[in-house]
Amino acid sequence: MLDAEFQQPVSGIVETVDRAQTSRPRERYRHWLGSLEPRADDAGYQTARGLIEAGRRAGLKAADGRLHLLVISGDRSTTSSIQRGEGMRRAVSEAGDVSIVQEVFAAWKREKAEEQAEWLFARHPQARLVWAGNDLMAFGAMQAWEKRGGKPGRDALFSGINTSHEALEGVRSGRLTALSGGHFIAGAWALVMLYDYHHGRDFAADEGLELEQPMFVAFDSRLAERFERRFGELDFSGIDFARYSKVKNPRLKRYDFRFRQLLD
Amino acid sequence: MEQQRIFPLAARLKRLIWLWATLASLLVGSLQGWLSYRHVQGELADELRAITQTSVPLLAVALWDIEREAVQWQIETMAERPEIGLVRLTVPTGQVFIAGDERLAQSVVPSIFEIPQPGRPLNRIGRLEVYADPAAFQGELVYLALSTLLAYGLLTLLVCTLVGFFLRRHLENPLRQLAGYLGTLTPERLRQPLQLERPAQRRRDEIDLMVDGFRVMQQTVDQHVRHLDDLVAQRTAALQQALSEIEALSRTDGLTGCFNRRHFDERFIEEFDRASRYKQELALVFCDIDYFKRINDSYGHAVGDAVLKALKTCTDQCLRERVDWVARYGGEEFVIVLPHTGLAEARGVAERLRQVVEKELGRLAGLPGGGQVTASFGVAAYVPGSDPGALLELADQRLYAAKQAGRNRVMPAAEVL
Repeated sequence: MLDAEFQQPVSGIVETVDRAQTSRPRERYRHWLGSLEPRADDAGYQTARGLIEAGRRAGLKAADGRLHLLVISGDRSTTSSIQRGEGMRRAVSEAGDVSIVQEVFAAWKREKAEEQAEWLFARHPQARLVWAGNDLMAFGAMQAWEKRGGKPGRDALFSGINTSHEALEGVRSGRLTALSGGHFIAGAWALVMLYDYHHGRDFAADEGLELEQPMFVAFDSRLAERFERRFGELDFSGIDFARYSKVKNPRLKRYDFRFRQLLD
Repeated sequence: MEQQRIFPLAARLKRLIWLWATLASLLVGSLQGWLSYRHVQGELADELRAITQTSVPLLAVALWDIEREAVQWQIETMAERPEIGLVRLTVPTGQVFIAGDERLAQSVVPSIFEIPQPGRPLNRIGRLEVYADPAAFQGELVYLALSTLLAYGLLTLLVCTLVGFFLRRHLENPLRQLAGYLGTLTPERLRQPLQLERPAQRRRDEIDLMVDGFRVMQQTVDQHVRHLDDLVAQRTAALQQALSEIEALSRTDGLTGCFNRRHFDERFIEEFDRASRYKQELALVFCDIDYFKRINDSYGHAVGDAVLKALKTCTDQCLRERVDWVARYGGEEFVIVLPHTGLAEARGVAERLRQVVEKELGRLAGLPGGGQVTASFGVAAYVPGSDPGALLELADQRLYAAKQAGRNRVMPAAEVL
């Protein structure tokens, strides 16, 4: 089962120990046909990059001429958390003028992120960028900043991941500087793969048993509004998923599960 | 001598030991108590420090990572330790974490530890105040005090008991035995060497020395007593000897060896009484040397004495030994007592004596020129119903008669008085 934010799909198997238990799809458990994961790295990268570019534009550098970044991750162990963080770090190293002053783990919770952010802002007074691993933690940090008399989006910039209403609203209002999302629909993509499998087009042949696909899209104000308009009610019945099926489109060589296309 | 009350040595020593051991215990115990106090203080401080120092790295990480629950759990675990009563953690950014009894903050001085940033030890990210729990300290002290008291008390008790036991066994017992022995000692028992009942197979000690010394004394006293006994026996014998000599002297005439007048007076009465009581015969012979004065004047006193002595010799010849006896009645007058002798027999004896005197006395006395000495005799016999004086008188009378009749003769009394 794919739970958009918190839990890993079964195929998030990285440890050799775990792998020894489960083996690969169709080996030990023959009805386990395969796995599909969003490429979490993208979410981290996209939001970090957006945050950093905005921070440069806003001139929020510290006294040493670098942007001081506070990181609020989910946890230390789950793949999505780790990979999001990796994406973020990739963006940071690409930027070259960013220092991660401290990383904390708020267990995806708003309250915890808020409290930790309080400490962090007191500890690192020159930090003006806050990267959060999900939307709730971003909100918590923003609340902490507001309690100190600051204005998120103006004197400090925040990024998050997910497409909650509050998050999209935050992007539209400018409070939230960078947002990534769209991975929640992975279940639908998985059904497409299954449909194809059952109709003779086994994904194992073209793509492998365990897939990792880019799904995340970076939301700017415009896209956020579009998302709200189209899917604000969380009604996705308007999407014709047949377009993405290999059986229905024989010329399709590889699956494209990027959310972006759903917003066009 | 009345028995005075005895206060056993062992009991007294035990009391003394109890007293001094207790005093010593108290003294040492106080000292130890004070040292323990310091020690416990130090130990508890060390423990506190140790606990804290194991906690500090964890706290540092938890603080740095801003994991509030972890921090709280850490300090609560610390506060749960019996040595720690209160833990207070303050963060430079203002937050405060507390675990334990907050009231202790007023009464106890805390140990303060700085929480360093992990990886950057010079940067302080928190301040930890650890307050010791007085109850733990007091509990520790009480335990120590009680255990010390118990230990010392038991030790003292053991020592006293042992001392008492051994004193009784090895000292009191032999001494009592000795006292008992001495109390019933008599000169006869002096001979038996002192024997004390003591535990076998032990080495010689002062008691043995005392026993040896006592045995020596026993022997000495015994010898001395025997020596004294011998001495007394000797003296007694000597005394008896002297007494009999004196007695003999008192009744003997020094010159002649006959009994003296005094003795005669006593004894004659007894002889007379015996004769009258048992109806026995008794004869008396008065004897007087004829012309003694003339002999004395002519030949001197020396010869005179010799004559008297020679008369004794003559009487010895004629008389029964130990039955008849002679006493010197006067200067030259003698009286012969003849028990169990009648008149006729007495007369015969007197006659025989007269003849001996006539024949031998001069020679015996060494009379110059071979002169002759004679004697006159008066004989009387006891007559029942008379008294000693009468008999004496009669014999004397007959002597007078003999002298009158010409001397050198025997004049018996008439048959009937």
